Amino acid sequence: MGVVGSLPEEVDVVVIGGGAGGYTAAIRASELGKSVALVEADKLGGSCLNYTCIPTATLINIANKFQYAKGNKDLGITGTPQIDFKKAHEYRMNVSKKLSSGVESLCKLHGIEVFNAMGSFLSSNSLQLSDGVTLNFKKAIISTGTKLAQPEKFKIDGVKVLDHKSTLSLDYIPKSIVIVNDDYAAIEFSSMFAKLGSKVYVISEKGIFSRLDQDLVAIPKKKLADLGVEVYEKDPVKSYSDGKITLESGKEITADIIALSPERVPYTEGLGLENTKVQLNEKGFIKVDSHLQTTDPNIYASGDIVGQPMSATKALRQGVIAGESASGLNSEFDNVAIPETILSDPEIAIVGKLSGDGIKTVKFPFSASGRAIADDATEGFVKIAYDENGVVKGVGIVGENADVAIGEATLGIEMSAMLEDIADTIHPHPTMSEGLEEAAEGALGRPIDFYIAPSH
Amino acid sequence: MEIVKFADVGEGITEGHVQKILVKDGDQVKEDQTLMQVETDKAVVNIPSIKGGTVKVVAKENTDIKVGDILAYVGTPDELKNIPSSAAAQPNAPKAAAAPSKPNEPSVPEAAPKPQAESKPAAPHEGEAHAEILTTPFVRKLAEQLKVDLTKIKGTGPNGRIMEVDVRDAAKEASDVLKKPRHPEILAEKHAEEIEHVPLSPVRKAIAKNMEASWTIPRASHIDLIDATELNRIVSESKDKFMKQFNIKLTFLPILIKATVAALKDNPHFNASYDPVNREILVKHYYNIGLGAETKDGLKVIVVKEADKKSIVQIARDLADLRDKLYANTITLDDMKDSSFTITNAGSLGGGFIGIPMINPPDVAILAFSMMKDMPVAVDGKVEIRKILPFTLTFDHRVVDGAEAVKFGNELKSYIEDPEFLEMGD
Repeated sequence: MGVVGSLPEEVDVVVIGGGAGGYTAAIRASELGKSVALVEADKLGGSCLNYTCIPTATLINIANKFQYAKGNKDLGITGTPQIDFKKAHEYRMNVSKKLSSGVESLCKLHGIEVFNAMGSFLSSNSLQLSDGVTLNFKKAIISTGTKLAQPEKFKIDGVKVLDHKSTLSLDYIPKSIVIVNDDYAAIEFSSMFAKLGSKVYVISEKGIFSRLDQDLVAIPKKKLADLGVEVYEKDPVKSYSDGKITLESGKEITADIIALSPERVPYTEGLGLENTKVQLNEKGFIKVDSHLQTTDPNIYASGDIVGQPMSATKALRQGVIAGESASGLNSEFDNVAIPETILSDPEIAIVGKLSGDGIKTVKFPFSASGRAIADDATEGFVKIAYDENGVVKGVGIVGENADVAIGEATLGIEMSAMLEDIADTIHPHPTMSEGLEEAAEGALGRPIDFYIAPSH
Repeated sequence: MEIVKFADVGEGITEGHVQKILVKDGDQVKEDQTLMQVETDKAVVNIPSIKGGTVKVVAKENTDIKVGDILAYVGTPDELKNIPSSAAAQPNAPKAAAAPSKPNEPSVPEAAPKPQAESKPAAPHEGEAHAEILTTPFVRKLAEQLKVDLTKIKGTGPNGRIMEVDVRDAAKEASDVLKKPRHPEILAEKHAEEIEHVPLSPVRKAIAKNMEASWTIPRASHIDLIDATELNRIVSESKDKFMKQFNIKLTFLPILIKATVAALKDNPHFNASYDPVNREILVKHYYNIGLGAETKDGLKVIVVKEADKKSIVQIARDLADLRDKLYANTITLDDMKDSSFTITNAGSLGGGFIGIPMINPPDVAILAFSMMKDMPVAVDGKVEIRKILPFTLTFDHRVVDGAEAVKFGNELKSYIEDPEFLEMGD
């Protein structure tokens, strides 16, 4: 590390932001023989690994295991498990720590110089770091992601009113919790806390996952009701004072914790973009072309900072493309489909288009799957969408381990698979993955393990 | 309602040209009534109505169509109400982003992609930009590295899926194109104003394709002269009798065909096709004799079927029928296919001494007769003026050798020089 006043360091590529869209770019550029610096003010691995995706997956795993331990009378199992949540919290923090240090050691192995600092552009060729170092670069990649906007009706105090970061870092189980959200948190946090024993309320202004096929959302929503979660949809918060939320309908809710998922806005503040040719779009995201090159030929950008969809899934791929583009390869972010998974109960996984011009769908219900019946997991289905030529356009899965088969569906769409490609591929038996094959067979009008009445 | 499409008529025909539309929108048509005539590279095909009813025409005269294109609809007026007008549903309109060829653009070779400029317009971030191109991630990456624009390639995989080989071919073509300017471009530099661009007619295209295929055959030729004095005498003497008895003008050709069939029977490997994959000769035990005929559109081959089973009179009748059809443009595909051996009568063109013909694939050989001439020849030590008919037998040397060709030629000569063996009869 340099000190104030030292000579600038020269690097081929500097990456600003060590999250999903950043460390991937740094590693790929290094693999292509470039000298690389990675600048991260917080923890390596970024939001996904430290504050959102991974912590959610960890805590949902804990909540599910706790729930299973309570038994299932139909299976002849009963029990009264105990949970030491301090221990659970420690486990959750260690998972992030382990992964973050994994990124760190990968950087070390690749010879990437990591700076724990903020960066600000002085020009299209140099970056000033908050620790005093100046980096002269040939190419830069901006992967700063997003920060949380200040919510309108609440003031986050970190004690009673929490953002999702703090919610996932609680070291105790709140007696009661209100989740104000329309998307992931509304369904993931609510079932998680309900299984841990909290009294859970969900306030969803627009309706839970209104942006998705409601067919997929209906089953997990019903499960929320079974878990005793109280859901208020399209009944926005009117006011909040002194621990009490009043909805437009007049309904009053009081709880120990209010968990918010504030809007995420592009993090460009302090980057000194005015000293470069980088331009933003009307929503404040960085404009890029298909090579992820910004309007400044020396600067690339990847991940949430370039706009929707904002997800680590997309950022992990874009980081690689940005790393290749900045290293001189003619790479493009040209993926046909970006899959999405939701850790609801049961899980939802979705890729591609499920509706649109000339698109037809067929559903295979898990109630017809041997493995699903054996696993007591018959709720859900695989929905396959295809065009008039039989080319697979989208897949939606709701059910246990939905995330496993969606990878195959995504590969199929990327490979321009036809229904036959999936239907004629042997899927292992007995597994949930057979559902995709069955749905494809159904779409071809020749289902084996379920029946579709011939239509005219 | 029925949809009338340009159906696959076989014979490898994939495209056609709408020559004449015989009905107009709203006409009542009967089942099997001819709606339009489509010129293909082989013949004019009549497009019939599938059923009776009111017709709505989608095709346009003087446009090119492909197999599968919709030409017309037949149904009740109610059913036809929602059919778009011919302008909107022009059969050759680009169908999807995958085939963006514009019909009116100057003829840029279809698969030649332009090398891509570095700066492409910013694509949307959603990753849907290439959603309509069917290919795989590996091929996309390859195309990016080779700077091939996938939107300009026609895939050869299922459903037009772009395969690795398509991208590599396009890249190679692009680099070849870049390396040296094509001849038309060199010409255009100097003579742009003085060059007339004449597009090939469907028939000429077919001839070009057929001749390119013919050129790949390793071939040799055998040339000899026939003393046709006797043949000439018989034909001259029989003409009137023939006309009276059979109402047909006797020419040399039916007799030459009959003699050729006799020679073929003695030398069966000339009446054959070659299968280069299995390395086999497909010897044909039927004698369908193709005859090259010059028409206003170019060379066409008409076929006298089962010539071995026909008398000279019948062959003469067949020839007259086929010629009439050829000139009336009512010749059918059936009249022009399935030859086992081809004869070209270059002599009838009115000039030349000896010509070397091109084999008509998939035949193994072709026989060309040149113009019969009075020539001095030595007969029993004296010079005599005789009618001399030169011929050239061009053959696929993979299948037959020179010795066999000479044997064939000698037998042909013996039949023609002593034509009495041939029965005229009906």
